[in-house]
Amino acid sequence: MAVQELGGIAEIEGWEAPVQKAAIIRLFGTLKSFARKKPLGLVCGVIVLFFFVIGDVVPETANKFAKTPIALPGLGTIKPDLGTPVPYLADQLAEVSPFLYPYAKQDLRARLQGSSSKHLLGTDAIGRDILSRLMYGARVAVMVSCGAVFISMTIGATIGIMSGFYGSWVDKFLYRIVDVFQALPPLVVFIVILGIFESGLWQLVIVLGVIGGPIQSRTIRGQTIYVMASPFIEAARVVGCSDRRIMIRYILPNVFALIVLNATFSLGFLVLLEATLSFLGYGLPPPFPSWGQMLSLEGRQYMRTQPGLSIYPGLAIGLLVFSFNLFGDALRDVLDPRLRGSR
Amino acid sequence: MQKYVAQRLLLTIPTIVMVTILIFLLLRVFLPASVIDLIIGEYGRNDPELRAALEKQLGLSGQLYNQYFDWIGVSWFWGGPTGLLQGNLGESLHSGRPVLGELKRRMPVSFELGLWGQFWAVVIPVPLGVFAALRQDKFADYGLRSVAIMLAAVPGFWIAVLVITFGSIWFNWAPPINFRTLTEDPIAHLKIMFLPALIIGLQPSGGLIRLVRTQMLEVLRQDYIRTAHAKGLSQTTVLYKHALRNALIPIVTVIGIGLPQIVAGTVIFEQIFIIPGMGRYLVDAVTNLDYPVIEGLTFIFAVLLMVSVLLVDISYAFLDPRIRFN
Repeated sequence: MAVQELGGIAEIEGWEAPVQKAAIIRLFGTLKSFARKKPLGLVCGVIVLFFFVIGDVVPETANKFAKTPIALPGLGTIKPDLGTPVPYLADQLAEVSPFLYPYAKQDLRARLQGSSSKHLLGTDAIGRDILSRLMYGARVAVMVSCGAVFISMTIGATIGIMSGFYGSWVDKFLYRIVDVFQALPPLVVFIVILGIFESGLWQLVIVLGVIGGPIQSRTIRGQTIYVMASPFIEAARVVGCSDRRIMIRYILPNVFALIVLNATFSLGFLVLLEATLSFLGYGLPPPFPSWGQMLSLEGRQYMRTQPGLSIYPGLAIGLLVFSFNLFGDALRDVLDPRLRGSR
Repeated sequence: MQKYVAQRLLLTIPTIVMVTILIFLLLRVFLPASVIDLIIGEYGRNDPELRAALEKQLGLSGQLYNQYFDWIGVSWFWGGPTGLLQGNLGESLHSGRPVLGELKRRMPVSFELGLWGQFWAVVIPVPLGVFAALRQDKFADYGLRSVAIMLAAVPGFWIAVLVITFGSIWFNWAPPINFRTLTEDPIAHLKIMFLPALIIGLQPSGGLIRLVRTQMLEVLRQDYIRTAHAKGLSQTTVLYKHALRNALIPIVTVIGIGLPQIVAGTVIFEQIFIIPGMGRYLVDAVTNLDYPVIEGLTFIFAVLLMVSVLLVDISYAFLDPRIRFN
């Protein structure tokens, strides 16, 4: 009766909705205020973007999906034919400027050379250009960290929101699981799993993501409990929203800032972790260039003749992690509701 | 207080049980290459009798739950073999030596390395952080903060590689290959331990410098510091007796969180600096697919991690009464 007098839920929610600006203008405005408040954060964001572009994440993923046949039960396999593969930026650069970026050409006559105009950072023991290998390594670093973060955040958000929402035995049960994952020393588990089962790009992404997932749920659970006390959850209950709708439409948007923050902070950590595992020999197998592996295989072997081999990959790791961290810091200052009022 | 400790201890039991189940599933059920096949391959003949005998000897025959009970040592109570509960971690497939005996030699080495690392993680950041706080917004402060941010981004193993590279180029120095224990040759031992420990300590230092600095700044603004100054106490007394002590409380917390890291954090440095600790043992076992060793070591690592987390939590409950009643 009372609900009917008030009108539909859309009307209630729409009472004080401000006039919405176009999405692009809003995005531009946000970026502008971010740049004004956090110039260093923006610079680091640009560096992160640069590594994404260098890593050529988009073509890699697009080509992967364009080529993998999809098996459907009962219908047989479908082979998606999405035309010619998307060109890599690296390939394009190599064609346009051969002196700048001769990555694909292995030159056996130019081994272990110092930097020159042809090879900006020198070459390794079998005549491959170090700069080009570093750029390829960016692909591995970016793909592993982003993929693993996506998986772990999905798992962490699901566990955190569910245990915060239902409480009681669901919470207790899920928390025993999280406890178990916290009791496993991460590096040891990764070494055991990746050492026994074969390691590869997708194995690395999945193992890092799944093992790291439950631990991420701690803070999300806390935030969920905090959100659950708000009156709008009660209002949603009164109107008769289902549990799923409350979780997805009301709680998730309110904990999303926290999820994004956790994600940016674990990105840097995961780049370090991937490098560590590759350094120990549990990352990608050798022809694949990865920064950690370049340090351990070539860097240590030829350190006396070409010290650059042990310097540049580490610098690349440091720069990427540094930018991820500072970008995350700036993002936290802007997004974190607890810090927002203090300025 | 007792209630809290008892509760935490009771909660560890199901976690340990779950961890053993996970390790068991991972290493016995999902294992891609069967261990038996590997050993049979070394014998050079595929003989069902030999296979059955080997399975029985390695505890791989019978039902899965029976294997699990054997490994845990529950079946010992009705006359089975000894297991984890009786302190039997199994024997290495390759050397035939019991895992526990090997651990007795290796565990002190890893622990010592980790503790030295933790020592540097306190000795480096605390004075630097205090110094930065006292010179707030001056050149030294900016410099130290930049160094701190960079330290947090640079991987420790890269520093180790650089040290070895330039040590060998400039000073013709390389990490010693022969390991000496503390009792055999104390000076050689400390020489071996010094660099890896320093690098292990450098890793968390970046974050800790920033933390000490902010804590110190916050404490220095408190009323009791002004009172201490007003009473006419000297600058050093105010700093070390009043300010630093109060600033250190949350820092102890953070160092406590880092403590469990020493359990597994030394793996990579043991590998680089050729130190025969638990980490090297694990890496060797994984390379050889020496599954009893992997099982035993993962279990020990997990238990150590749990115990250190438990100790840290209980010490908080001592320090901070709010946790006890939660």
